[in-house]
Amino acid sequence: MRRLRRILVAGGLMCGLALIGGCASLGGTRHRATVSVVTAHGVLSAIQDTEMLLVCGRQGAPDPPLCVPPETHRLISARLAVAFGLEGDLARIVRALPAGEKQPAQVLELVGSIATLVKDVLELIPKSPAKESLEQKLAGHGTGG
Amino acid sequence: MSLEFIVAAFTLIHKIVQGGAPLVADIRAVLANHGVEADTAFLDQVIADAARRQRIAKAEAEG
Repeated sequence: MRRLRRILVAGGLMCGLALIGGCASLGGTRHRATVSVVTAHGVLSAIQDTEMLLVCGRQGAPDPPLCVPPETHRLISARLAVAFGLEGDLARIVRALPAGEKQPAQVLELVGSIATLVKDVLELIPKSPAKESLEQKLAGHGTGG
Repeated sequence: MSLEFIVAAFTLIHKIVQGGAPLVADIRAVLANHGVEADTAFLDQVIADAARRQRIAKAEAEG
């Protein structure tokens, strides 16, 4: 069930952002893309904020094995650094899109890369009530609705 | 750009910055009510916050 939820989060991120290429209605490609980019940023931000609170030894973090070991935290942070960089690139591409223009192929490539990183990060976080709560929140929100 | 939009946009972005994951419905409501002009403002906020969070992530990765 948990694995399914992680798949849904990553898949939802990809599907939602893939809607960028949809037909031009209610604001067009750029407008729909903006909704997806902002939502994706919310997803990445929620993951980062939750994970930071779960690092072993930090105030309020659970005890092992529910907390994130420091070495794992460094690995997760490295992945998130890449993800936020890609997200910034994606946002800049969408921002530069002229009205009515089709999305560049690079958009879907970035979407795929970000979704993969999200999936990887979620798999690295140990099971805990806080992680389950995060996954429920992300799966419930989705990215494209 | 109306004052109402500015308040709504910053409320939404503030929620993201503070660690919330706003509902897609919230985002669509703000963008739908304020039209395409809102897109650029939102994207600028995302670009800035993504850079901030990337710096945090890099520092944590090195720590």
